[in-house]
Amino acid sequence: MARFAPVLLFAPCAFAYAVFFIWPQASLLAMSATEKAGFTLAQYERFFVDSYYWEMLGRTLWLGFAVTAITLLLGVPTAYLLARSQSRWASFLLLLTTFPLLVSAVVRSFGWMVLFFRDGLLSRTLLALGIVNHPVQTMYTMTGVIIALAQVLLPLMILTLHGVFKSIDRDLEYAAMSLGARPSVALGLVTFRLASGGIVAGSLLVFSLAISAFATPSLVGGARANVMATAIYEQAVELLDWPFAAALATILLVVVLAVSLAYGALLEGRADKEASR
Amino acid sequence: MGISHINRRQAMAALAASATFPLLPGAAQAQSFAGRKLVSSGFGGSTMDIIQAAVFTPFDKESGASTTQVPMQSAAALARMKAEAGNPQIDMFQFSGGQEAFAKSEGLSQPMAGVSRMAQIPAALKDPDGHWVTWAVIAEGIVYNKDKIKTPPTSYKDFLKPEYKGHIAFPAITNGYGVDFLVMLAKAFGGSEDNIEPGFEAMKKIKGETIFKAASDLPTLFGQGDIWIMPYDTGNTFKLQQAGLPVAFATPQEGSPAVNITACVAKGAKNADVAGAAIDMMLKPEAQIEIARRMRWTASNPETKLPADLAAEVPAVDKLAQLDRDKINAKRASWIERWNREIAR
Amino acid sequence: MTISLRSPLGIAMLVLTALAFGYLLLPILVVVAAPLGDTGYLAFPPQGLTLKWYAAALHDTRYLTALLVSLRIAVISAIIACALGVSAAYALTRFDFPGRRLLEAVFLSPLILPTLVLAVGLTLFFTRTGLLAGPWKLVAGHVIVCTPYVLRVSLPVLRRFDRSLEEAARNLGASPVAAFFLVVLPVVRPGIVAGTVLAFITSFDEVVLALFLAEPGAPTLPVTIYSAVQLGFEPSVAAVSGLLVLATLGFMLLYHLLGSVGRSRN
Repeated sequence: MARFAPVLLFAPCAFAYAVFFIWPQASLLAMSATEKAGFTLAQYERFFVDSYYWEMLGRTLWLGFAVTAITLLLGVPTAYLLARSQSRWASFLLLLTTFPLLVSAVVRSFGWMVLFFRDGLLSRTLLALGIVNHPVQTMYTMTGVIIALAQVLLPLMILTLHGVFKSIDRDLEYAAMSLGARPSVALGLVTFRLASGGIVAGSLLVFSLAISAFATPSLVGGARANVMATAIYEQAVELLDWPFAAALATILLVVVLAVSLAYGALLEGRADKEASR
Repeated sequence: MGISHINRRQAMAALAASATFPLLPGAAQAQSFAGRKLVSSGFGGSTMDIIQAAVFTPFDKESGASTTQVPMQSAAALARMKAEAGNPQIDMFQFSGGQEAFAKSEGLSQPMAGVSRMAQIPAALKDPDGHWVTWAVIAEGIVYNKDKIKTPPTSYKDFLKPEYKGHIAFPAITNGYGVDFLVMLAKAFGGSEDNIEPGFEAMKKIKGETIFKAASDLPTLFGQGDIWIMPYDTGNTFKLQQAGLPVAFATPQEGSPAVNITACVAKGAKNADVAGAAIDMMLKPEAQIEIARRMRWTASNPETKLPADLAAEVPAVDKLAQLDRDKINAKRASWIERWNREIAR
Repeated sequence: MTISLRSPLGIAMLVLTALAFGYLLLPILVVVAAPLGDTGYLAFPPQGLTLKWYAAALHDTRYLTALLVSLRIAVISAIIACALGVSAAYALTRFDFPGRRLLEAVFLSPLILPTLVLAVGLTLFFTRTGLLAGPWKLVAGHVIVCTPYVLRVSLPVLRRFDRSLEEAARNLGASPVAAFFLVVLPVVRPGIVAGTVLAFITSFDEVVLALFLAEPGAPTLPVTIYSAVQLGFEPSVAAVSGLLVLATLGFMLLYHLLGSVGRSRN
């Protein structure tokens, strides 16, 4: 019985995936490598020989890294304080962080538009603070996309990390301190080390979503923020070129899986080393 | 076989309309679709509501059918039409960006049956094989801020005027208006649908200006974005005016390109007969007057006689320039590739 | 508090947290406040003051109907995703078997594929096979998109869980199921709740799959909003989002205040 337990536990999930994910997607992605004459790599060649697409892939990865960095910087302290707070408002504040997700992407982009235009709030604030000396337009730029996307993905980072920080026994921090560690050292050594799995998970979640996001790059970025997802939309919906859209999706999938496996292996390897010590 | 059937029907309807029985087109529709459910794609928002009130509500009352519009952007609607080919969940489609030609060439639409008013529609506004028909037309031209620009622009060449620098916006090429802007720039500088080079040359000179993707950005561009001039249409000018923005529409000397609002029936649609009758209702003069009154869309049926006050505000369909949509559609993919590299980069 | 908020580290964390909240909420404030303006376009700060856009949004039954559709789809999808995700995550962390890493990668991969690709693939699939009807097509799509969130969030929590506690319970005679519910679940619950909340919100906010898979007569709220602006923008659309934010805030406050009243009575 116990031998079949793992199978029984992941069988429902595996079944749902097999039918509603792997089968449909495999047949769609197969379109990228077939034509009337049979197997072809022409769609992939079209991508790899063109510096335009390389540039776009680079821009997509840059978007992913920048958004992940911002959400980590703001998400770690927020999640930690909310997880450790004794206040009865902590859970209220935690739910408050999810508000950006309640606002439809279209409407959210209008919010940004109002802030990002040349005479919008952001430009005026930067002018008043003396950071810039002429009005800046953030709308329809990559910077605007990064700011807008990090805002909507930050709640995901906070929620992921919050769960992990909550599950870390606070006594460990006290223990470290009672052994003479300074609070900041205890926090760094114990909590963040223990939370590294959650930090990896949160980063990968945000990274994956950032590079596959379509609505925000399209609405806030306009025509100049071409990333893989907007190109896929353009090919699939505007031009109905599904084989090439499928090829772009496959390339994105492979690149991200490689990044995630490398990142995961790096951190998991370190965790294994520590466990065996 | 289906085609000859249509032609006969069209011929009969034409005969009826032109000569002896002026009542017949309306009377022929008195068939009952009681209990039938028609599903159409729709444009969403207030546009969808107005079309429902002007077309589908009277249609439902008359025929006994009940019609639902599914809000979908035209491009996404076409993609869904293609993905559901063979087993369509949506019977009829409304398009605003020339998607009907793709639908026909991809084999996703079928000749419409029961559209008796088809014969009244000029040949340029319908498919020769009866796959689609234009039921309303929006006029493209120049939208400008009349507080900032005192003398109305007269030509697409005005977009290169140095005094507007930094205050120009234009739509990306994936927006149907963006393609038309490129074509009209080409025409203004001696090119055409066949010779797009002058269009790209001119657009390169303003590639640093604001490029937007969706009509939804318009109010903010004029209201907050310090934009004075852009190529857009009469319908949106009207919406912007209703929103209290100081904008006006100018017809350029190169002509106002027509944007065709079309309807077509999905191949294999379960309610193709109901859809045909509904499309016939879209061509009905009363419905077209209501659409013109509430949205300033031009009527496609020459039989539609607008009241004088409206007629002054809505350009007549024969005054509009019909671009060669087949040529544009054939070259669109390569223009988009080039545009992405030369203009948006 | 373990870390004194007065230490440099504590202050830095407080400042960053305050920044995070400002960053998260400022655009929301714009969306809620801008439709109060008298202008037919969004401006911030709003010019003039009117409730007409909010009234228009409230009077438009389309949005309410769509909201109910979205809520139904999101609740069903989140529950299924939670069940599938937590059981799979438990299996992936408790047992070592060949192909475990690969399976985990596959389970998480819907996060990476743009939803448009999923949508086209699924629509083709449903059209060809004729499987599922009504709202279930969209639910199937949303379950595939939402399950990875549950997995992503509950995997690290389950990995962190001290297995000796579970073993102790088993040694004391608890069945594996009882041990899971009595010992494991209470500890990992925050992670699972977070994952399920994420799954719910993701389904609730998802637009592309819904464009392709929703029942023709029952579009979801994001689809209704997304399509409303194709031919031009209306401030009432922003008011719909504003109403949603205000209603959620109201419910949260009410729940919280009622909860604390209940607590203080005890």
